[in-house]
Amino acid sequence: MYQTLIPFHSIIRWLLVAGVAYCLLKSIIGIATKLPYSKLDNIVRSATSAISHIQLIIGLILYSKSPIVAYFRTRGSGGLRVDDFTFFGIYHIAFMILAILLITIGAAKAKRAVTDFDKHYHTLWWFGFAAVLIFLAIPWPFSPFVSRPYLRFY
Amino acid sequence: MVELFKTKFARLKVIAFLEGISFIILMFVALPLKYIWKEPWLVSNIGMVHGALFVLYLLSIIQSKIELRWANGKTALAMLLSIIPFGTFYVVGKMIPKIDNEAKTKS
Repeated sequence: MYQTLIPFHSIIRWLLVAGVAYCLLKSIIGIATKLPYSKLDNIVRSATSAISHIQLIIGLILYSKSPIVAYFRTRGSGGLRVDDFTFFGIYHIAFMILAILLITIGAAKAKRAVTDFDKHYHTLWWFGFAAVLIFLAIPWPFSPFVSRPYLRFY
Repeated sequence: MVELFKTKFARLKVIAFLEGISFIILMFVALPLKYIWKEPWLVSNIGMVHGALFVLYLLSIIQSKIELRWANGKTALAMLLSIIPFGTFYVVGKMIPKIDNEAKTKS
């Protein structure tokens, strides 16, 4: 289970990053140039929200099966210094759940908004804060906290 | 089946229903197995599934609150019902269809 889900978690991450990046760029362009909110924006926004929920489910299952998290639990409190164990035991899950909450709220608010400007505006702020959290909490190869390869197949 | 997942209400219904089922299996099958017959294997599996569905359910409720403009009381009730056995079946049966009709008449 753990071994098969890790590659999915790694690949779906790119879909999510692409979706959030598209929504953010489009909302900035939309506000700057008064571009109308297109049908594609609608599709990408709701798809990003749905993908984030799928990623959350996979992530929670991984969290319950992860040997790193299991060790983190038995080790007890070793301070909040960021190493592999605190990163996946606390920071990754906390930041990501918060980010998905922001994406969910933002997507719903943008859907509910009436004017095109409001739709762009809600997307910009809610997805913007979510993007910062996601960027910090993904274990990029260049991350100062914990690094993992760009794509993991094992 | 495909049609079922196209509307927000249907997705919320499916998630709420599965959340309720997993909670009942956890409460009335898995926990007795663990604490009376000392068989913890079902708790670790169903517990994980139920935990994931519970988080997904709360997110869906928040989404519905904003998209459908639920009152705060209604949202709180829907959230509280998820920690009572059989509670989400009430949400599926009584709360969501009403909202569906409201949404139809509003738009």
